[in-house]
Amino acid sequence: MGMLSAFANPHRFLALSNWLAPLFYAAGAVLIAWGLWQGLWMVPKDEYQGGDIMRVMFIHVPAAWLAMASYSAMAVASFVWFVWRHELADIAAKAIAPLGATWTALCLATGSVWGKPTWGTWWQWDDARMMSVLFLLFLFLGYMALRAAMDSRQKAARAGAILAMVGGLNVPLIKFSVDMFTSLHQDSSVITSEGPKMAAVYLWPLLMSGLGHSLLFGALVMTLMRAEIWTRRAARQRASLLAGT
Amino acid sequence: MSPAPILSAFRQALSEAWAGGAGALLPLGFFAGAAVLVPLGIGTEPGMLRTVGPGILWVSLALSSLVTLERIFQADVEDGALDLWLQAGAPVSAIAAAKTFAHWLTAGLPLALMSPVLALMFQAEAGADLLSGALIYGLGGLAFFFWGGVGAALSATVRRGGLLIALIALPLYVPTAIFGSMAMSGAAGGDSAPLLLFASTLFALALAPFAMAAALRLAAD
Amino acid sequence: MDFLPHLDKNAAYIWACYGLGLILIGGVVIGVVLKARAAKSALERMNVSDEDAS
Repeated sequence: MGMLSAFANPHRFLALSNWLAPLFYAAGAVLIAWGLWQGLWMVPKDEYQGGDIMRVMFIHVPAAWLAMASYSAMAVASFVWFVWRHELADIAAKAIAPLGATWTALCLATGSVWGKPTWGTWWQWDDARMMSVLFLLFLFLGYMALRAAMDSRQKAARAGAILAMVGGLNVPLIKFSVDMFTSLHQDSSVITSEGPKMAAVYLWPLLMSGLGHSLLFGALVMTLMRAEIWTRRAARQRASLLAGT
Repeated sequence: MSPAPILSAFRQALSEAWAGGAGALLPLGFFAGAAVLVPLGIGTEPGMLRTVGPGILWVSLALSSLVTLERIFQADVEDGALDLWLQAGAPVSAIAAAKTFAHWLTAGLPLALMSPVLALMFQAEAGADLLSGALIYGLGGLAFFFWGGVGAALSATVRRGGLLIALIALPLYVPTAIFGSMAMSGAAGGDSAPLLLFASTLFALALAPFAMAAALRLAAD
Repeated sequence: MDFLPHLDKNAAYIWACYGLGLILIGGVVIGVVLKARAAKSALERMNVSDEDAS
């Protein structure tokens, strides 16, 4: 129960993240660097997959994983806050949003650049995963815009939670409908290099890159949460100063 | 729990949405106007218009719903009607659903009924498909209004919340837009599409009122 | 520039992708770390002024 209280208790969270965040930064950087080294220098190119361009997968695929995982995490944190009202859960959801949006945008951008030499177009409407990720970006942006438009922190938390949960429940439906939509057209061969048939020489750098990005993401979330905790503390202290207590 | 607040909210929303006599003309005008602009933009070749027509009408339907939704809850927040409902212990989710349904009746249903006319302008073949198309636009519009209603409720306290509503609603509109246009075009998968549209609309009808209620309670505080 | 990998004809696209990654991720890391530092020092300043006041 001691470890879990770090998630409910801001003091314990600050103490935990004080060493965990730097560790995640370091481990994430190492893994990403290793993945880059493998992806750009070491692994052989695969002419069947289009030659060197498939090396983009070592940044594009982890970004896609993070886009989806981070939205789920934001939805879960919002649900936890909605039910149990642990302030940390709301702080976590608020922190995840801009970071999730960044990796989602990176996924879209790298996917677009990958698509140009591969299929000749900057955007492929038939790529189910890219379409889902595009709508994920809108979900993140809508969440951030809604929170920003609210008058108070409490209202932002409540509004955000409602939207994140509604969005979270809709994501499977959106993905399903997008899959149906894109399967109507057979021409595009979606980026297939992430199948389980992938050779180990590609799979390992991909997995390690994914883990590295995730650790880096976690470190950034913790840092933003720390910033938010300090900001709220300062605001409370300012308020009590003004109240004369 | 008497149905009185729900019915009165419904009636009030009907009269509001009927826009002081102009009635369904405003949403119809917008719907038609948006659709008619398209050939001006993309050309008049009949085969192409027949292909893009249903999709254009879906986009117009979605935009029309967003335009009418902006004020659906703001007035209640401003004039205290929302506070009265909450004090009276009325079921806010039912009230929100009734108001949204009223707006669909005045703005969404007429669009569905008018869709055969516009479809013909987009070179569709006259026939039974136009009628089933109207039904599909009706179902789809219902989903658009209910998901849009969630965005409207969340944005009820935001001045000029129209853009925010659109940003919130857009991802939520995607399944309806996809299933709806698949049902219209009768492409591969067209058999399951109307059922999927029906199911996703039911999902909206079931979930959206609770989200709207939570958002309205938030707006009242 | 011999240490750079030898990429085929699509080198520009590959570099563009990794460059985007570097800019976006690097930018986010810098932004987040700076924000945390600013929040911490704002809190410390508040505590200092609190001590002055009391």
